[in-house]
Amino acid sequence: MDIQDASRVVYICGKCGKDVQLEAKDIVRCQCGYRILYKKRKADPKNPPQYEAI
Amino acid sequence: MISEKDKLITSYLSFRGLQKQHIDSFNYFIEQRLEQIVKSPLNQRITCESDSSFLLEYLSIRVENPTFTSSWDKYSLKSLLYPHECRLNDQTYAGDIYVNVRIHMKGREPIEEKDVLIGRMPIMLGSKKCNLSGKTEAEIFQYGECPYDPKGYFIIEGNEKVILILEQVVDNRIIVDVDNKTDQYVSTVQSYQLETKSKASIILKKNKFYVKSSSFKDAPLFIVFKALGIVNDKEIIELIGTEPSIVEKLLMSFQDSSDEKIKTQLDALQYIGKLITSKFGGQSSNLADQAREKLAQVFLAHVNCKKYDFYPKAIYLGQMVRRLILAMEDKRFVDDKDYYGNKRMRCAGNLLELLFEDLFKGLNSTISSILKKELGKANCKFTPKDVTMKMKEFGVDITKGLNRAIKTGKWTIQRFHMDRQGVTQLLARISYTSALGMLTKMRSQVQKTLKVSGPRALVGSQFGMICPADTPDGEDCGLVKTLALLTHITQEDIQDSVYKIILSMGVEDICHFKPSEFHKNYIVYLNGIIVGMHARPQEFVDQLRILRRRGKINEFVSIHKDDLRKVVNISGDSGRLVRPLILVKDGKPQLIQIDMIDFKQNDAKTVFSSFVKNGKIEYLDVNESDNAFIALTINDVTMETTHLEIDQMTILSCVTGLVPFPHHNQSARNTFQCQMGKQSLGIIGMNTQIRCDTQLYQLIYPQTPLVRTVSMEAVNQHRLPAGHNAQVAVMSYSCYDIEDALIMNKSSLDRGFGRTAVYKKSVTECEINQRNKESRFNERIDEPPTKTHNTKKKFIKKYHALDNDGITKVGAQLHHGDIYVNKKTPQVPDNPQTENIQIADTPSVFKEKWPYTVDRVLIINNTNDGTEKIKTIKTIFRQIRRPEFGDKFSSRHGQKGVVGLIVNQEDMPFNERGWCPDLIMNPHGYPSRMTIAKLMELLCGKLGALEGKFKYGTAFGGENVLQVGEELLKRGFHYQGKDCLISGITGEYMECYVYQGPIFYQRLKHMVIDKIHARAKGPMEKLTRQPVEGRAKDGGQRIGEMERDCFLAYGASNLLIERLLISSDPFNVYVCEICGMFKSDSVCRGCNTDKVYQIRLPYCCKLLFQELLAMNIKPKLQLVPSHERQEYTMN
Repeated sequence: MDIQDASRVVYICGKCGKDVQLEAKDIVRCQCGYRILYKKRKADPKNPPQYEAI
Repeated sequence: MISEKDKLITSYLSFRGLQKQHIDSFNYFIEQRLEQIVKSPLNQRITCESDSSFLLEYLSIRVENPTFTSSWDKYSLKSLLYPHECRLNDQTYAGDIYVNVRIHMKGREPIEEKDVLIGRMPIMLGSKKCNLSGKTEAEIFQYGECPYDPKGYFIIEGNEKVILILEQVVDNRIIVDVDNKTDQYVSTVQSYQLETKSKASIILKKNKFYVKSSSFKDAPLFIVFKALGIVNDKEIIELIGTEPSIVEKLLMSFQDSSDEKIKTQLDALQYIGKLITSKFGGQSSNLADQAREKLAQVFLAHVNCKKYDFYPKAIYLGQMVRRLILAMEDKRFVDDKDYYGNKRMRCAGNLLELLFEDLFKGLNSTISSILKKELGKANCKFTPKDVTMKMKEFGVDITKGLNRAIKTGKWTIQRFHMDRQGVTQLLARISYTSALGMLTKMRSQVQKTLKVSGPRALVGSQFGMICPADTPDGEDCGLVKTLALLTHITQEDIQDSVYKIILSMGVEDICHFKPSEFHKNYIVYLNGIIVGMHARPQEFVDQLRILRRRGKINEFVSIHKDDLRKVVNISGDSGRLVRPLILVKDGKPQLIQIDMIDFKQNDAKTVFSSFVKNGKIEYLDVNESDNAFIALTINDVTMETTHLEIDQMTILSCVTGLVPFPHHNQSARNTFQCQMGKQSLGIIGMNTQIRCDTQLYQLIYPQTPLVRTVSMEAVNQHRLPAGHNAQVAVMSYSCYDIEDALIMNKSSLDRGFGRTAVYKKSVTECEINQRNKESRFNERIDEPPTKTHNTKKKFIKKYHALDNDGITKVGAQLHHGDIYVNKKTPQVPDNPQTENIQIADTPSVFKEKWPYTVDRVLIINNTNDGTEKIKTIKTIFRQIRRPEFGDKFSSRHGQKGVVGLIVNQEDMPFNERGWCPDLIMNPHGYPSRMTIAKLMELLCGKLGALEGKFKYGTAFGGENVLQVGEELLKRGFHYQGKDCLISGITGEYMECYVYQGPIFYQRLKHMVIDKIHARAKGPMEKLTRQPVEGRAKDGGQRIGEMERDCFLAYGASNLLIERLLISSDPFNVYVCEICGMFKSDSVCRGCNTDKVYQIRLPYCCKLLFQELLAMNIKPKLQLVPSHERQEYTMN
């Protein structure tokens, strides 16, 4: 990943599982032609994911 | 006999499933009926009014497997569509419908056009056209599907829809019944034949018989006979019956025809012609011709009438009258409408058939009217290709019509005056059981408000077919039913083969007999139509049954001999309930232990069908089981026995199958459990993690029950369970357990007892590429605003969960008011060139009151062509809930309760082995409810846990409690399951033994967090200015009439004023003392006075007065000074 891309959001294709990068105006689609993308869970140093203690 | 009957049931259900009736019905529709509809004489041809040489002929029709066409630049690719993808991106699981047509046009050779697309047909999951059929479990799993999913439903725009089974009164059979209004006997036939549906009945008025029909007004019986060509009165009587008692009844009606001076058939036809209610569209002005046409096509439509030969209809009419007269004399001849042999179930295929035919006719008439316009033009340039293009264009109506009907559940077919609502329902995915229950659910057509008990009652003919326990209570009680475990619903059998066989077996055509001979022998009916007579009916019936057992005729054809009515009924029609039974011959069951070995070698389906083909197992419908002598168990078999039940437990449904030892419960408790089993939380399938339902509950640590039943295993309910094996102590504790409340162990909750994940879905649609809009006016999703010196902290905080793409992060925690999709909508100004664009904020705001975590975010493009119009963002939120006060739990015995207290483990009772209960149940729950099975479950569960084995509590079988007690004793436990406990509070031994052990507890979906509600101030109704209603709108708590009465009776009048006025809708108005009307200020110009006073009254009171004024009623307010008020009221 380029340094430039660090701020861009990465998606995962629902079929082939590859990472997909999209611009706001891009068509939602993976290179494999699948049209359902999932947002990737990303480590956020400021707000680390925390499980509720219940 | 066989010791492994359970295996027989399990293997039967393993290939059949519980939803075969739906799938079979759909397959039959796709494979047989579609072709029949398209090729029926009324639909097959399209002609053109303006060009008589034009002819379009349908040659064939086919439906393909569901596909999806994706395009990439110029290329388009057709690929198979799988159900899971449909659920994710809101597609319809549908396959293309193609027709082959031949088009004749003026001056052209006839052209065959192949593969013309006329729409898309929703495909039922699991049907032959479904892409999942024939796939192995592993493959199904790969496509994102649960291998245990019941299937048998449709996916319309991402929603799973079930077409419920509809129960109707049988068509084409004579039914003699008592009319509710007149209290007279009526003989009725509902005819249904391909295109026509009609009703004919014989009624009695002033001792005279009349024929009541849907096409003409009540006509005297003898005149109808004469119109049918039986002119001789003697012959008419012979058709009905020559017994003196019958002739006597006919005497009065006899005179009618002579009174009207009707002697010939023509006279009679003319008489009936005058009675016709709806005229034909000017086909013939001649009354007699019209009457003849009606009699041939509408009257008793199911009885064939070749070339206006009305004799078969006359015979049939004679039989109708005969039945009626016999019923008048002998009540045994009265038919029972609630008898299940007189009922037919309509499944998905039948209902789709009606819908499709209607839409197909619609397409044909659209095409026809277009052709009229186009071909009528002088310089017509229409080619056959254009015709098919038009068909493709208007085929969209078929797609839309089918989708809309299944989606909304509204079936409107004008031809049959059908306008039904709620035909389909959303598949309830609360638990696996609820989905199964839905697919075996049957709805009756009887109106709910009708106060007759007949249709609701459990009748003997339902035995083995319909579950006696699984029905809701309340207004739907007994009208919504569930199929029993092994019940199947038949499909139509092609009649010709049976017809030929019965003719070859000595059934003689009835027309060959003199009418006087009709009533000496047995009349043979095939699907309600008279085919002939047989002199030795018993022999005939026996032989025909042998043929069926050898597989010469369809296994589902029913052969029923009615000795009372002297009739043999052979039925191969659709919608009959049938169930398999073991055949018994000479006191010996035909299926023996050795046959069960086959299951080891072959797959279940082939073995079972070989049992059917070899005459070991037979399907009986309700009518035929009247001729059978069925033994419940092998011990009941005698020499007269003809059949043996496979197992007694099969009289129950799959939902009742959850209950262990249901035969030891009070029946109402099993019914309650059937309702609660559908609300219990568990896992709904193996694919829950990738599903995206609007709302999905999932128990985090589900357990399979220690005490199981065979029927649970047969339908995989043990693999997808809903509940926990809770350690229960039956004792009293702390007073927080009164009225069925439960005491919970806090440590158990920490360990995960009852812990549930709740998933909620939210959909945000963003129109990013609208055709008629410039790109700058399209909706878009923006980055979150950045912090500047003048933005408020509170404002920025709402956007905390967003990523740079303006959509929430996965794993972020959302609170009330947070934004999770930052959508912007530019407003199109009146003059786009000059004015500035206003951009409105239209974000998705999180509305739940308690925080959720973002579980998944899906970004979907679901437009088929390459352009993207709508970007759909589905956000799935997750919340983990541990049980809290007021959450609802239930055992499997209709014993529900809420959590009353959560106690630290150290305060709970325990025994010297260190055992401590998960929950404590108050023993007062037992005596009045009489759920003995719950006691048995505990005992068996205790032993099962000690042995490490599952115990069985199958209905009418299961573990022997005495033996279980002895086993417990051997292991050092009390043989009645009691134990000595130490109080957690005092640390002393308790003075009594406590009944304790594991009981399977279900967590129900009703949770306090979804219901909790309070408000001080809040939104008001616009019109009345009173608080709004309902939790969702943050509404107020209503003080209703009854509450008001209580305050009134108590004398709390100031409280009443506060509740009804001050806290609701107080309003100040000016009222003129003279005219008593509302004024806008303190002067009344009409009365020219300043005696205008301000008073306070409810706003809705002011509204009422104004509305009355608008209707020309003047409500005059009479004002009294406040110090005189006391006096005034005294007077």
